[in-house]
Amino acid sequence: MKKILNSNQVMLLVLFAVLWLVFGIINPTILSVANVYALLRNSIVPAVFSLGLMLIMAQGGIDLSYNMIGAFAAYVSVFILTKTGNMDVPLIVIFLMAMAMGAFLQLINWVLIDKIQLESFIGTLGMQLVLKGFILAFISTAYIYTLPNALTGFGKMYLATAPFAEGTESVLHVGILFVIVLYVMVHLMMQYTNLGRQIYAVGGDIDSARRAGINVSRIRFAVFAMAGAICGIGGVLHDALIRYSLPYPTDIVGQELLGIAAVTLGTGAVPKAKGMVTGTLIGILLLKFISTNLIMLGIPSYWQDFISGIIILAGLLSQVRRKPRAKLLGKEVA
Amino acid sequence: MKCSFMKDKELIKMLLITLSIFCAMTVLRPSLFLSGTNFTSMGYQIPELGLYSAAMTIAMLSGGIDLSIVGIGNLCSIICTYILHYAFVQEYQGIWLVLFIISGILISLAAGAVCGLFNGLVIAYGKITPMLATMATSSIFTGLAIIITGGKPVSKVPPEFTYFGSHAFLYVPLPLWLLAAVLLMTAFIINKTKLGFELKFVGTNLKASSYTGINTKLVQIKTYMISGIICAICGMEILSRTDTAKADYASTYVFQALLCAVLGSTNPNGGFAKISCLALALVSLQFLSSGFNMLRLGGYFKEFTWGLLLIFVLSLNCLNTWLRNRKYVKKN
Repeated sequence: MKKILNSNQVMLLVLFAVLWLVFGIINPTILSVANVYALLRNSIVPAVFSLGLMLIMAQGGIDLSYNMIGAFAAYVSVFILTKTGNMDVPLIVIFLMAMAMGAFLQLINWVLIDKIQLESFIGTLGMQLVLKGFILAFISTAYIYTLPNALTGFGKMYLATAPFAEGTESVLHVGILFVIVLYVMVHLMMQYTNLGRQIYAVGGDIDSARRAGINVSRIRFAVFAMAGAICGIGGVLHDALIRYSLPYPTDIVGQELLGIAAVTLGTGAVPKAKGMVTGTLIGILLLKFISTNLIMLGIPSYWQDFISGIIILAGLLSQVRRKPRAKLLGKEVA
Repeated sequence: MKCSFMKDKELIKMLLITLSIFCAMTVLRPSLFLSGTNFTSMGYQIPELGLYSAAMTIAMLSGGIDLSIVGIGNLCSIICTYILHYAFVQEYQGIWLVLFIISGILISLAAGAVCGLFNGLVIAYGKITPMLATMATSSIFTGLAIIITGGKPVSKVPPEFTYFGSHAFLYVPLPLWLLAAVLLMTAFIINKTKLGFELKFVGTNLKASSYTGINTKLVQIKTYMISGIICAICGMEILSRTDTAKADYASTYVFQALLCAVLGSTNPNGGFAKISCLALALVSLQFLSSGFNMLRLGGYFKEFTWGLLLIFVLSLNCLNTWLRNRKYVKKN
C-alpha cells in the first residue's frame, strides 16, 4: 500500500485530479462529458506516438524521429494506395502497410544506434531531417484529400457523442480503443514477459545486461521494430482523424518535446526503469489537458508556449528533486 | 606549428570536405558560383548560423547541449528592437542616439546572459538532462517573446543600427568580421583560459572533475551564460540585417547549428571541440546550400542532404575508432 502511495504515477494522478478540479471551478464547462470526449480525441494520436517513444526510451536512448516516421509511414501508404487506385482496400491493410513501413524506418535507426553506435539523439535527429527531406523532395509535397474509403469511414466512426452547452457536438472517436488495446498489450509485455524485463535491464545498465547474458542487439531490434509499428499506427490514426494526409504534418512533427515530456514525467525518479507504460498515458493526458483547456480558462492563446514550457520544466524539476528510491519498482526490476 | 598542423587529422579531413564541395560546385556552375556577388551574399548569410553554432559548440563542449539558442536569440533581439524603436520614434540624434544604441546592445547582452544563467541553474542545480532542460526553456523563452510581441513581428530601428548589417569593411561584410571576432574569442576562451580548461575537463568526465576540486556547477553555469551571450549577439546581428525581430524567426537554426557543431568535429559527448573545424564546417555548409540553390534544387533536397551528411560524418568517426581498435588488437 505504501508503495502504491509513493509511486510516481499516483502522484501524477493526484496532480491531474487537482488540476481538473481547479480548472473546473474556474470554468465548469471543463468538467462536462463533452469536454472529456474532446480531450480524449486530442490525446489519441500523441498517446500512441508516446507509447512508441516510451519503448525506445525504456531501452536507454532517445528518439527525435518517431513523429516523422509515423507521418512518413502513413503518408507513403496512403500515397501508394491512392496512386495505384486501390481505394477499396480493407482498413487492416492500410494499418499493416504503415506498420511495416514504420518498423522498417525504425530499424534504420536501430542500425545507426546499435551497429554504427551513433549518439541516439543525433542519429535520430539526422534521420528526421533525412526523412523530411526525402518525402518532400522525392515523393510528393501534395496533400491527399481523398483517402481510401475504409480510412474515410474510420475517421467518422464514433463510440458516443455528447453535446457542449452551446450545442456543438463532441464525439468520442473509436481510435480510443486502439489506444487502450495498445497500452494494455505493451503494459503486459513490459511487466510480465521475459522480453519486457530484458528491455528494462538493457535500459538500466547495458554492460550488466550484456554480462547477464542478454543479447542486447536482438532486444534492441525487437524494441525498434515494435516502436516503428506503433508509430505507423499513430500516423494512420492521425490521418484518419484529420481526414486528409499530408507529407509534413507540423502538428506532430516538431512537437517531439510533448512525447518526451510525457514519458519523462510518467517515469519520474524510478532509478533503473526509463519508461513506464501507465505513467506515459497519464503524462500525455495531463499535458494535453493543460494545453487544450488553457484557452477555456480565458488565457490568451499566445501564453500557451510559455505556460506549457513552465509546466514541463516544473514537472521535470519535481521528478529529479525527489530522491531516487531503490525499492520503488519492487518486484519489477529486482 | 607546421608540424602540429600536419598531424591534425580532423582539420585535414574538414579541409578536404570543404575543398571537394567547393570544386564540385565550381565545376557544376562555374559562372555563378565563382562570381563576386555570390561570395558577398554568402558572407552575409554565414554569420547567423555561425554565431548560433558557436553558442551550441560551447554548450556541447561541456557535455551538454543548448536547444534554446534560437529562443534566446529571438528574445534578445526583440528586447533590443523595443529599445531602439523608441529611439527611432523619438528621432533622437547624436549623443542620445549613440547612448540608446549602446544601452540597447548592453541590455540585450544582459538578457542573453540571464537566459543562459537560467539554463545553467536548471541544469547544474535542477540536475535535469541538458537536452530536456533546454528544450523546455526554449519554449519558455519563445513563449516570453510571443507574450511581449503578441506574436507579431516588430521592426523599425534607427538606420545607424542597420548600417552594420548591410555594409562591408575591406570588401568583407561587417557581420562576417563580427563572426570572426566571436569565433576567435571562443577559441581563446576554450584554449587559453582556466575556464576553457575546466570546461573541457567537465565535458570529458563530470564526476572525475568534481573530485579534482573543480566547481562543476559554476563551470556549467558560466558555459551556458557564454552561450546565451553569443545568442544575444546573434539576435542583434539578425536585427541589424533584417530590421525586424520575430518570436519564431528561423527556428530550424537549432538543428542546423547542431549539425555544424558536429560536422566541425565537436564531440557530442563533450570534452572536445575545434573552432577552426567549426569555421570550415560553416563554410562548407554554406557552399553546399548556395550551390544547391544555383542548381535549382529545392530546400527539401538541402535538408535531405544535411541529414545524410550528419549521419555520414558521425559514421565516419565511428569507422575511425573501429579501425583504430582493430589495429590495436592486431598489434597485441
